[in-house]
Amino acid sequence: MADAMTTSGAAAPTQPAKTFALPGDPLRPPDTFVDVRTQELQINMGPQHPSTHGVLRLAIWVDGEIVTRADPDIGYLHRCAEKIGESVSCIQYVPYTDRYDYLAAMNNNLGYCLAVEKVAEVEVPERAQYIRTIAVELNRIASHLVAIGTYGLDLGAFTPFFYAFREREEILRLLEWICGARLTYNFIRIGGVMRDTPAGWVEDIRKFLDLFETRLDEFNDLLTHNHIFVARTANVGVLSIEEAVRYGLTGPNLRGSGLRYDLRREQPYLLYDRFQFDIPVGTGIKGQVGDCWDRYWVRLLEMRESVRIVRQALDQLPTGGEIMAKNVRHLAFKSKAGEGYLGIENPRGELGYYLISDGGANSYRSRIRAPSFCNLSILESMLPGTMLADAVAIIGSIDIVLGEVDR
Amino acid sequence: MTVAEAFEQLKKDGQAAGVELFPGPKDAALVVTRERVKAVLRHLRDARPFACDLLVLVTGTHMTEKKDAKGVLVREAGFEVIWHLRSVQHRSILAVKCKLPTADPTVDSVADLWPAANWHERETWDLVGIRFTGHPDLRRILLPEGWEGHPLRKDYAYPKEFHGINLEVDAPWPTP
Repeated sequence: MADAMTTSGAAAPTQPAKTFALPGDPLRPPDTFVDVRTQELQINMGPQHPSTHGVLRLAIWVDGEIVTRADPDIGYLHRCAEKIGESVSCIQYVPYTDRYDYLAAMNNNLGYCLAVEKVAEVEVPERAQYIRTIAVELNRIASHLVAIGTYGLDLGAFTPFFYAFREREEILRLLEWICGARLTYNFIRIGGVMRDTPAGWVEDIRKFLDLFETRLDEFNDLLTHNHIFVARTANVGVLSIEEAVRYGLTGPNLRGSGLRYDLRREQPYLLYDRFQFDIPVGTGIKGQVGDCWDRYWVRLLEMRESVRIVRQALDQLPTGGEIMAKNVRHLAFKSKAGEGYLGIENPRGELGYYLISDGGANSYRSRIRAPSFCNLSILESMLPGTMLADAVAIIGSIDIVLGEVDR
Repeated sequence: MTVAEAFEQLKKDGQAAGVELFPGPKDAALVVTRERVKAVLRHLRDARPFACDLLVLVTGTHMTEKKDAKGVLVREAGFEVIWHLRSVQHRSILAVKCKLPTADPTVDSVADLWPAANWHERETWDLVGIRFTGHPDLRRILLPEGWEGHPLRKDYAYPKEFHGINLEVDAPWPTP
């Protein structure tokens, strides 16, 4: 790849000259036209750039202010996730999964544990499944709050960020209470969960949910219908369903384009078939279906659905009962031989683990399907033709976590 | 649609040449020969009963030979590539598998069928070293350019240094 900040080719203009009228220039006669030549320029964005949410480097070719080509360059945060998955045992690998999508670590724990449980044929007790659901959905709200807050931040709206992080802090407190960590939980274990709910936890969640529902409306006043925010996001980065599916997009990015596709509904895992919830999709309220605003709006609505799911899970939570499967011996865990893929609905899309086990303590192969990795690849197709300033709006609306892209 | 049903449907469509059914132990898969794999994948995408429009994952695995206690071969040496395909309409997931010889791990690229395959194939080339012919831009994606070897191969030797950076785990700490 060429170095950053170099013009492509020689000094000669690569584009045909365009002529523009200069209206109202007192020094020229009114019918004079001026040659404004544009030249293709390669600019470098990142890896240290606030709007790339981590260490993403984008090489962008621009003609004037129009992006002609974009080449995402990833790998700055590569930590050999799949190699580690082969060299440590399944039990030891669970804390590593926290580090991939660190904004939704519970979901990553869950994806890996469900895949191991599928291959190893482990039956998880009902109470543990409810606790898992509560933890995962709370984590989904926290993750979407970061997505929405930082999205506003990217586009110059500073205040919503603090409101989002105030609510997220409450969720982190609740999750810290149950497992002792604020981001890297290692709470969902193979066969169940780490510990039972502490006294007062369920009541505190209910209090938080009541407060949070009223505060969700504040985002509508601050951000959703904010004139500047709508002008920056509506009709920008429009993505059709076909294009999204071709590039393997999942999660809110796919639903923002109008396709009602959610793995919690399509292939229910845990106990999602016992809960009532809607799957919000983008409808083009402010502009076209599938624009940046729609993707933002889907995330906001999903938080409300998560609140509904947590409420129902709290109502149905059985009193007493096991939280860990009986047949899992953690010190000498050996999976059964076999291979299996299991995908779950992460806040960013389909998170999947494909495991091959030969009956030993370690997986023979542990492949991770990271949603951000697949979602990011669409930038090559989405950015060309847009304004350079809109590139930030589009990247923010895709909502990537680089820890998961690079693994 | 389960994998067994998909196999029957392939037979009906006259596309079952070179396709076998891998029954499990856990996930079943269609095992396709290297020559036929792209045609079968194209059929799975385009034919109405399958309509596998969403490519979920491309996985490469390096398989080493393994025998059990009685000396029976339980794992053949070679490479395996697996494509996981979802159908949004039919709410189904299919796995298609292709076995490649150790000496020549090469298979047709499907980046022109699903643009999503582009990065997955680059990653598989980068980490496992499986070459996808017909890929528009097959270069490393996660590791830096100029890295030697493919780390997810079982015979991968850890490098001792990279661009002057000492990578040996038990090397003594430099004295300040």
